[in-house]
Amino acid sequence: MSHVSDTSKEVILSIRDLKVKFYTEEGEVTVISDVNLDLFKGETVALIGESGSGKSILGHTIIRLLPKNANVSGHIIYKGIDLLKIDSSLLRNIRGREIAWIPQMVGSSLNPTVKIGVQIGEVLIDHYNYRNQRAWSSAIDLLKLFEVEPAEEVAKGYPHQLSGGMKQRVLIASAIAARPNLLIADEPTKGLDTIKKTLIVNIFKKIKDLKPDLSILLITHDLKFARELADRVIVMYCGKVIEINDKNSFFELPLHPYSKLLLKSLPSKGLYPIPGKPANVANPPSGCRFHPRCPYASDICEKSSPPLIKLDLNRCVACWLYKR
Amino acid sequence: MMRFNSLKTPLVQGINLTKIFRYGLIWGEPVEAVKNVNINLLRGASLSLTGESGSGKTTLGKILLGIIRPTSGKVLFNGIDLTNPKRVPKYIRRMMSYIPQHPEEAFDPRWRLYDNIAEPLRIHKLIGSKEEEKEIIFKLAEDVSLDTSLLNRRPFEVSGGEIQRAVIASALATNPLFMVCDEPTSMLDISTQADILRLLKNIRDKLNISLLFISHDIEIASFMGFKIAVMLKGRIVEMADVDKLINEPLHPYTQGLLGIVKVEYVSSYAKNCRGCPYYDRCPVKMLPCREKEPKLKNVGGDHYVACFRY
Repeated sequence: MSHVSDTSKEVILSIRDLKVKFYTEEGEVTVISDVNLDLFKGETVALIGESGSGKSILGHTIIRLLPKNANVSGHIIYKGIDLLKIDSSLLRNIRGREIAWIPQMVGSSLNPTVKIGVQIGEVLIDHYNYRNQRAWSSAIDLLKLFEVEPAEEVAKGYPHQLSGGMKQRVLIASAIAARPNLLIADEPTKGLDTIKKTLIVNIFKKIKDLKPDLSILLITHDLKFARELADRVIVMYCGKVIEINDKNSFFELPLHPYSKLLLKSLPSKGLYPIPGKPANVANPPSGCRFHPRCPYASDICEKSSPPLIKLDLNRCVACWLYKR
Repeated sequence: MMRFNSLKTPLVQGINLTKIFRYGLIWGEPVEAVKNVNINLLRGASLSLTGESGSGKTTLGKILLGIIRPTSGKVLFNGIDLTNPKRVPKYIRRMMSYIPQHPEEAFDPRWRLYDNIAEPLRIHKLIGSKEEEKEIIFKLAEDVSLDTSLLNRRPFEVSGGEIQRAVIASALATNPLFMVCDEPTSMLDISTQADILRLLKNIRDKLNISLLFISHDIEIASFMGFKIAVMLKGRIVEMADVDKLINEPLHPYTQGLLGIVKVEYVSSYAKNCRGCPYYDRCPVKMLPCREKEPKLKNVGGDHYVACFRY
């Protein structure tokens, strides 16, 4: 429902002036700078960007899973609560129940010594005080819904008995078991083949049908997948948001030069790589961080960093080309 | 030095290859990972294998390299049988190389990229002195456009695209004639992927290498190969030139992979079927499909398909 204007939609999560720094042996590294975002109720947003652009870190920041050497400043407001300020007991009630997370490493995200059914159901026992029996049957229902068959057998089994695609579905099942309001999925299609990707797409559509007001943040670099599911697309480059756009207008008429080049590097568009090397967050280029690789770069791009310019209600871009 | 056959006889030949893994991971049944596959690869030609995961692409690639021994059938590399590892002369090994899906697993994490790239040269004793080695490795790094300052780093200190370049350099070190690339880009970003694929294509054309390219993405497969073979449950179900296969796919499974027909997903491992391997999911199945397995046959113009409708 991307045609609806900003004001009529309910904001579920808003990120303001977010900055994430890591203290490393080589000094301070700013991996995310000046991120301002709004996620609306019931929409699916794809957060795309290459590896090292900070998209996974942004996901981790929202659910506060960053390591100890991270320094976060800014605000992440969910239902009027600043997630960055609350204490851990309150956070526990939000994590899993309100905001769920599907991690990237499918292989290492399930406990190898716990039965699949228990791993899916435990979130219900934790957050809704389900009895074991009821949690178990809910887990089986979810497995059936996601076509992980034979569901009873799988629930009694352990992660090593499942294929990669099945593990991915089990992870999704355990994430949505507690019926969260916001789902953050980190690269849910990484390393899967075309047919299994279609399956994951269908699963996300099913989840959406079950709970239409669920907001989904998809962190991905799979543009095909983003195109199937997303309502809006947010592009990150080197720790900054450089474009926010409607799905259709992004794939037909991308705004930022980086997005244009990124679309050209798709197999269906001829596999033309973006010239130059990805910018390094530890040592970012001056001015616009994309200027060393940008075919349209001019003097101003080198000197100062462009702000996120709002073109209309749904489209923003950080590029000097759009400055009147 | 061995002599090479003329350009018309295949460099790599797989005859009636079958591989049965005795211990299935799930139910303990024997699994036919590769079944009755005949495959030929000419010098300088390139073939892409595609199909969903678990269809036996990697196993077939490894059999053709002589890494996995087939249950039955023969692999001939320029006329030499690779299925009996004891009889394979060592110099054959340096004529073939393998680029794995996870580049970081190919390298020793404790070694610098330089040593990792040099390892095949050292094993095959192809270099006389340290200086010569250095010269060769810098040349290789240049060929794959890897920054030479990165050669002193260890594999975990460089990005995914850079380590993939280093793996390609290492694979090229012995001047191979035959190369198997097993999903070399499935873990990379789209832009890096485009970069690496173009690099591989250039190398293939420049050095006249026979390339077996394994990918589950049919678009990438068609970019890399002259020919595409579509695999399903260990069998090749369709094989043709790229243009033909993309424009007129005949097998319903290929049509499904290309997105023309919707493919139903059936979790389908370890089930050795009697009839057509695609029977469960086929939208146009007929009666004989359940009982008899269709053979791969030529339907004209080097277009092979295993389906009763043709």
